[in-house]
Amino acid sequence: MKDVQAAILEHLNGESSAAQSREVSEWIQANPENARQFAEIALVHGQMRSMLSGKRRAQDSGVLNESAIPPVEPDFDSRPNAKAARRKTRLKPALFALAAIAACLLIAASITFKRSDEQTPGQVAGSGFATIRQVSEVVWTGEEYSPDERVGNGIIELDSGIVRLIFDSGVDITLEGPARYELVSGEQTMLSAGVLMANVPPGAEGFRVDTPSARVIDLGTSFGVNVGAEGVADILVFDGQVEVVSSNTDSEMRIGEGESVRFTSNGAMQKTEFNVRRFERMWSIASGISSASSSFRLTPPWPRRVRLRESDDEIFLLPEGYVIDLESPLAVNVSKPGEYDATDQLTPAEIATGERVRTYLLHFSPEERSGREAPNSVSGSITFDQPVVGLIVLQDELVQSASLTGLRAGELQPRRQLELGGENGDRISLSEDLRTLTVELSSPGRGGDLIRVVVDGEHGPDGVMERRRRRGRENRISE
Amino acid sequence: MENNQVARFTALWTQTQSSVLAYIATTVTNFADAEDVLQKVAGVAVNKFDQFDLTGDSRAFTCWAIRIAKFEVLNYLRSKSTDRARPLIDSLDTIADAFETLAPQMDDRRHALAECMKQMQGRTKEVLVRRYGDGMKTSRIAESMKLSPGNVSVILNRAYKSLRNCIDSRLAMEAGQ
Repeated sequence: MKDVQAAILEHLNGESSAAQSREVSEWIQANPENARQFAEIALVHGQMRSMLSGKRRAQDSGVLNESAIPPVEPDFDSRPNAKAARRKTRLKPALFALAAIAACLLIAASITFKRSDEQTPGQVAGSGFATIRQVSEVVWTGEEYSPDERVGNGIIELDSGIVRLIFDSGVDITLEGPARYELVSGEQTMLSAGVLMANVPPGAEGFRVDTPSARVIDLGTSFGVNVGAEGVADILVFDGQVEVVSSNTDSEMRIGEGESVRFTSNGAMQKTEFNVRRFERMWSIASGISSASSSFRLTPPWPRRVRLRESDDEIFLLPEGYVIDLESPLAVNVSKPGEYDATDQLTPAEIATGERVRTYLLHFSPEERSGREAPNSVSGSITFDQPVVGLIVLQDELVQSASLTGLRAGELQPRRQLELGGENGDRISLSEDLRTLTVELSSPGRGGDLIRVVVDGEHGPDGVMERRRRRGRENRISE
Repeated sequence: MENNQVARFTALWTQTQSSVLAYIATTVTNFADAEDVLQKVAGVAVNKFDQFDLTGDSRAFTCWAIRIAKFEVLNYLRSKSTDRARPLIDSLDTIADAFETLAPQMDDRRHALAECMKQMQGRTKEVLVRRYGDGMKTSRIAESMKLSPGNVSVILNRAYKSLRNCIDSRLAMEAGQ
């Protein structure tokens, strides 16, 4: 064959003659290396079909009138596939549920379908209990979702990419495909496959992520779950504590910050090394960062300590934990959009007690070396997915606010603050929509520059915003 | 226990089904038919799931499912008389073996493919979507895009070359990490 790949593709596309296909067959059999090459091409062929047909179907189902698509009940008879319906009679009762699930999965690969009304998240605006927050490069295998869509009871299935959703309780979930995640209620979910990160704010404790081998019950925390194909679940706690219960043995245990355990499919549990690598791809999204220029480097938020790394051309960004409700007023140095290159331009303000915020630390510190001539400088922009409600750039306020995020004030060395103005001064600007922060930082061999960014911790739907306004009114009344 | 099994099967199948479809599609070249066969494989796998060695990993499950698929493909071919597919009947075992050697990488390959697909743009992307999303044959793609069938074949062939290169370099990168 002249071009082997072309001949194989023609065969796979069903467009080769019998003689040509025979030639392909002989080539495959000639040696194992050929067979492997063929398998590689065939794999791309099949996987591409799975990816693109799922996507296309999801698009179509959004366009099609709902009544045109038969609803799927958890029973074979209602499915428009008579062959599958006949098979029902042969199934052992105990395995019927299993078969139903398998069939549901397969529907994605064979027929267009739509879940019944109450199970179709896109159709239940107002009655769901979570909101899709962000969708990043997702190839859907099930229903397609878009940002701001309300989600209720239903299943989120993706082949690749990352989805972030926020429950009305404030529970913040980031999911990376291939994954299958079922929302049972506002408090209970089921991860059959995939990688998930959960941030559970105070007040939403008790949130559950079930896996095939273990249940994870949150006790006010940030944790990650990775369910592999074998049903093996790795559970890592980034902050706080979770309770894990083996599905098989019902044995329970608590695991805390920096610990991780693995449940195998038979329910056996073992402690494992704390390794966050599998979560790295998703966590800028999980951290609420929409985009950042290349000069920013994200530092994992765990373990929770300042990791002030030195670099001449990078600004380190450290998310400081999950959303918190302020227990005392928080003083900030910048509270309004605009450009700031002198200390007298600052717009100080206090963020009131009870406000829900999330904080980040930006840090620029060039490597120490002697005989430096010109000061190092770096610039960049970062966009958060929520409005910035304040920037803390001066030493006093930085130290005061450090305790709020669980950092010890002593970890902040003196002279780590912005030096606004002057010849080698720092400049910052905050966009009109309060989401984008642009910085030009220079650090003439002092201690480094530090900015604490305080971002609105409220999420998504009007319901939550409404609650916030109500809470604001109640606070004023009680004062 | 039953619930565990359900969840376990679901987890395994979620990750495996595109590879099993790939295997079926080597011989059953019509996607709709291949997907019918895939559905049968799932039915059999569910029924026989208690025979699957529960200590096995996803790789073992993929191999197990592909063996089931082989029988279902043979059943399907017996029911049809597609001359073109016949020549590959002899190769089904060899292909299954080759898939087995790829099994440990299948998940990585799928990830890599998803990433590499993002590089596909313009006409190439459109051809791929029509071929794989809509299941169009070359002649129909050509017609709908005002190209010659030869053009479409060349575009597909090139797309595969760059996708395979991209997948290989991604796998090499992962391995090097």
